[in-house]
Amino acid sequence: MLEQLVLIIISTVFVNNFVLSRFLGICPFIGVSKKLETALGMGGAVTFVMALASAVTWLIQQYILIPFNLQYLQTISFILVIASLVQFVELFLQKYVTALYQALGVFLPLITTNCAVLGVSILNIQKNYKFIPAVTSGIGAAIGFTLALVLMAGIRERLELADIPKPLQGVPIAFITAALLATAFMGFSGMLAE
Amino acid sequence: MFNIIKMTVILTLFCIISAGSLAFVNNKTSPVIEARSHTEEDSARRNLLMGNKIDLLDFSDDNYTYEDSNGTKVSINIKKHKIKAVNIVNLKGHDEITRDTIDNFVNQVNKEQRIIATDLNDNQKFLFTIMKNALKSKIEFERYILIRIPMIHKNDTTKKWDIIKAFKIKDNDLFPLNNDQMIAYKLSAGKPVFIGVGGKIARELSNKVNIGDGYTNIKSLTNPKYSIYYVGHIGSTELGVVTTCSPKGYGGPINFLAAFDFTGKVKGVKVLSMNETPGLGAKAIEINPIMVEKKSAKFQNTNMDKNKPWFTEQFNSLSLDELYLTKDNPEGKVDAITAATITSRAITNGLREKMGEFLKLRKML
Amino acid sequence: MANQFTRGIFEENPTFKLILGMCPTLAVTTSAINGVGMGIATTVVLLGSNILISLLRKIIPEKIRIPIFIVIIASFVTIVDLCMNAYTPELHKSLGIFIPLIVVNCIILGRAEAYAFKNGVFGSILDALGMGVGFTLSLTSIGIIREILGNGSIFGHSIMGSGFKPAIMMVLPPGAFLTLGLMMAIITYISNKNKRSI
Repeated sequence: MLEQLVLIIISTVFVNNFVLSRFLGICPFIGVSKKLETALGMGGAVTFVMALASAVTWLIQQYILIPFNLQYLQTISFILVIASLVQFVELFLQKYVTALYQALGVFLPLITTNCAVLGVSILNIQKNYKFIPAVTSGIGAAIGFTLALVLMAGIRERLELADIPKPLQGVPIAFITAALLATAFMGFSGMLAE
Repeated sequence: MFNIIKMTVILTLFCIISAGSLAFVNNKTSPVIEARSHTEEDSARRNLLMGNKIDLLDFSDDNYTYEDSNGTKVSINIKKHKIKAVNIVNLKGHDEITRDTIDNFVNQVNKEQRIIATDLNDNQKFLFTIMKNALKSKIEFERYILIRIPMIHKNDTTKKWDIIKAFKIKDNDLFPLNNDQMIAYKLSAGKPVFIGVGGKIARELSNKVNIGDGYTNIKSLTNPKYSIYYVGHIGSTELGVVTTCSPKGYGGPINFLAAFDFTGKVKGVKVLSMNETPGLGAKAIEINPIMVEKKSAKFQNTNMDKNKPWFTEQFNSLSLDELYLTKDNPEGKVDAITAATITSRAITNGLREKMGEFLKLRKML
Repeated sequence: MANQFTRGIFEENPTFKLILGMCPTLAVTTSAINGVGMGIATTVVLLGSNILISLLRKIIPEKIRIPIFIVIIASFVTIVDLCMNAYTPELHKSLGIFIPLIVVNCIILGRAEAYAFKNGVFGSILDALGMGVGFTLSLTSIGIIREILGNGSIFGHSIMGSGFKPAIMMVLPPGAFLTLGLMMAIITYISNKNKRSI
């Protein structure tokens, strides 16, 4: 059991990194990765939401959708759950961790449209995970997302100071950086000794 | 206050209308989806069972017909293991095939009473495929289900083994092949449902259930590991069995169909779905005629089709002892995919375990 | 009126100008046909949601508009998902998880909020079509490039001959980022040049 969980974490963080390998969570990846502190804050909020979302969507699939043969309601029920979770996180942060709430600003409600959250919920079902592996997968995916975000933020802070040709400034150079990061992460596919 | 109620009502109304429309669309589309996956599975099974050759000795006197979605119609009449007449209508896109080509091909088949797909030219390949489609339509399947229950010895907890129960499936009922311990199951939605053991029904049993020399727990009985085997025959000739395997690969389960014949050799392997690394493990479904020639010469395997994935074609005609990677066992005749050992090993070992299970089933039939 | 439509293709191209809908853009463009398929699927959902939201804009209370948008968009996405599974099974298999992920494609929620909720049906239709066509064109162009370089084919037809060794990286993640980044740079360069020469 523990071995499976460790493998899941290594897989979602490195080998099949959600951003650099599965292309989930690109919009915030490009949008929030300009400063290191906001990147870390976003990563933390996303981890919390993804862990909760993995848990709740798994329960909904097992105890409501499958028994009543309502699999076609999966997309709509999952996204509504995620939207509500984000609302709660927003209210919670606004009351108890106001500094973070203000720092994240408009990016907090945008976690709802973060493909990684819905993506990991659906992938957990597709991979037939039991409950604990599913939540672990959600946490691992979020850690991988944060890792990619932090790496990107670190590089972009330096890029601001570099002399980049005009057409490449901003988003294009970010994508090319991402290409290099993705190539580096592909090296991890050897980690599990294929 | 009133506002909140109004908003909740409107939101709920939207949800109900949406759920209703989705249920409606689901009703219309799910039969189409199920029917399609049924025909795909059925066609894949028949194809795999027929394998890379047609042996006229397998086919009894009959008329074999086939019609595809392009309007091509084929009808073959076989008498005394020879093709008496072939009628092909509407060869869309293959106008270069004349009556002469067909007649020559039929004469060649009748002379040797068999055709092997591996040494045909393109036109003959096409004729082979449509003839195979006509012949495979007459394959009839009987289904069997094999259930494995893990047991622990009553007095020595280090002794572990599996009880294997085999049942013949007719519609949704299960008829046991061996009656010794009377473990009863029925089939529901394609899955085995535990009824009871030794006369006691499932509800009466506690967590630890004694059976024979050992015991198992109620969870293993209610959620057992099982495989469904399709035994295919045409007339009185038994062609072999087809079953699915899902061993754990590098990126998740690798689902493939495996066909065995009753002499204990692999008839074919077809990968249905997998999540392996593109460029590495995913090469298990890569088509590479040069590799087929290389492996065919290396292992002296005349049963490999150039137009099918080289990795899985290696398994054709192998027996249980040969189902190992060459790097794992000197008797093995399977070369792994370069830099994708885990994927290659997963498929090979999964296939070997399945063959072992099939040989046990063969003893019971 | 025509401006409504062309705006989505050029000035406000979702992929290259608004930088929305990145996830499917990178994941699905391993081949040209996948790009076209995803583009059309997204356009259908966009049309449906824009039309419905525009028709119902007087009834939807402002405070709960986002959840209602989500319900409407998710319903259309599910309908497209079921229909594709039934009638275009190969495309459904290639696009995989990204079909249900259309629901979190910022383009759709963005247009609902920015346009359909405040304007009439006809304008909403044009807006949806414009954005949809723009999205489809970007996806298809990226898909064509990645398919030629990474597989030696266009729409499944091999065009590079048997001696061509494809750059497999192009159909893998790094190639996706690279193609998108370079194309954006080129388009920015061209439009800057045009702006200066006016």
